[in-house]
Amino acid sequence: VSLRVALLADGGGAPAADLAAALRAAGHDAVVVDASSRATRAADSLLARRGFAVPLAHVPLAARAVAAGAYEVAHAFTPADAAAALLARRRTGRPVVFTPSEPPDRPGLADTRLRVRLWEAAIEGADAVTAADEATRTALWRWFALDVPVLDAAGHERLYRSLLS
Amino acid sequence: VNGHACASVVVASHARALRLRWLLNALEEQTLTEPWEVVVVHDYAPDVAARVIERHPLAEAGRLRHVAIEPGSGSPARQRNVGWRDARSELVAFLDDDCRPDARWLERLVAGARGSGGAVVQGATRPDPLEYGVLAAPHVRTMSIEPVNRYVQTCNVAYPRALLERLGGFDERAVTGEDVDLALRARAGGARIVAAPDAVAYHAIESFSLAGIVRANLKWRYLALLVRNHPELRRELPLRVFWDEDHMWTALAVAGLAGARANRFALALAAPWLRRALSRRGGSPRGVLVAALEAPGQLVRGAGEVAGLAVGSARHRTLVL
Repeated sequence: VSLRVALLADGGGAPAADLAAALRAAGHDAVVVDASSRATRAADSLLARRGFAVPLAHVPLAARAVAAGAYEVAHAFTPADAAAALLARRRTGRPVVFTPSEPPDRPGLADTRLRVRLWEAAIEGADAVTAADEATRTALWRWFALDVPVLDAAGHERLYRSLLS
Repeated sequence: VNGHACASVVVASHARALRLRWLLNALEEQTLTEPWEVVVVHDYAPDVAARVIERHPLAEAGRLRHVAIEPGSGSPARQRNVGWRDARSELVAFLDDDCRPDARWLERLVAGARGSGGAVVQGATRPDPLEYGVLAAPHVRTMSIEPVNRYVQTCNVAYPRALLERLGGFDERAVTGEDVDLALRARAGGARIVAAPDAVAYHAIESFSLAGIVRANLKWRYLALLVRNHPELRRELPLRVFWDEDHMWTALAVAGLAGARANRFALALAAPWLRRALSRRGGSPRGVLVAALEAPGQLVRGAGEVAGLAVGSARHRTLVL
């Protein structure tokens, strides 16, 4: 049975696109949800001037798109996209997976407003956290004391099914 | 680490497991080559403690121990007392769990202690440069301390264990200001406090909502008890009543706003506060505009602090605002 998966990627990130392609090749309905636009980027530039972690402006739009899309799983790759997926989960009840697109490091964990809270919300709120590679796995353990599996597309497919069972 | 540690780092931690992890990572990078140890006293759930503390490389190297207390039963004073009494070294260094020590912090603090002849050694605490971006928020909390200051906060200080024993440790009746109380008692007992300005700890910069910062600052109402126990502190207070200048001008501004209905000239009392409030973001037009937009929230925050201290003053029967 094929799965319908939303892969949240502000600006169309490569990890989401790669995973989407692999899932589609396996016969699933994987959709890259990119809610960013010229308007959200303009809003983000204003937020950045007030010290906020950006991009943020697309979050409510991405949440609405995920909630409206009848997806079975929402998979996010940045803390902000995870916030959108968690917002959508309030309406849909569908599971959220978070896979950081880059290894977290100390300088980037708390450098702007809301950054730490977004990371904490993503790590604690997601139904599952995974790593795309060993470097990210190691970094998640070092900075969040979080032991996560490194998964490829097939591993993620199995994870989705276990979250839905 | 056996009984020969040259220093014990004591950390009291509550509701900051993530920051504690980052602190432990920074401690792992210390350059001090002699044996030393870390004692963390916390109220975390067993699974959190296992992940964050027990499986940390410092613990696996035998350098980190932890003492768990019942959730909700701790206070900074009690946890630090538990920590230093459990420590194995004659030198006890205190760090807050929202700090990140520089890699040479402990090496320099220990060097300062060795040259001090049994004095208390205070290091420098500065806002974390990795988190400067958060300063753009209207309500932030951080620490900036150049030693030796009058309060000798425990976010970065080392006490000889013998002195802690002689003083009986921290006063566990104090909800806040227990570190100031300890330093004042140490001074009164003849202890010297020396500076180690190159032993630097970086303090987190955390942003709060207006309600959050007002709530967080309510704990300062217990400072009235500190001033009652140490009336000599009044010599340092503006007009011997206000905790700092900000509180003095805030109280005047609130009085001016309250009196404006009866006499509009009373608003002039708010002028000194307004001048300070408008300059807090620098003198550029944009900075003044941002400061003006933030001014109402700043007044509410300051008034909340003064009101909290007023409540504490009534409770402890001594006036500190």
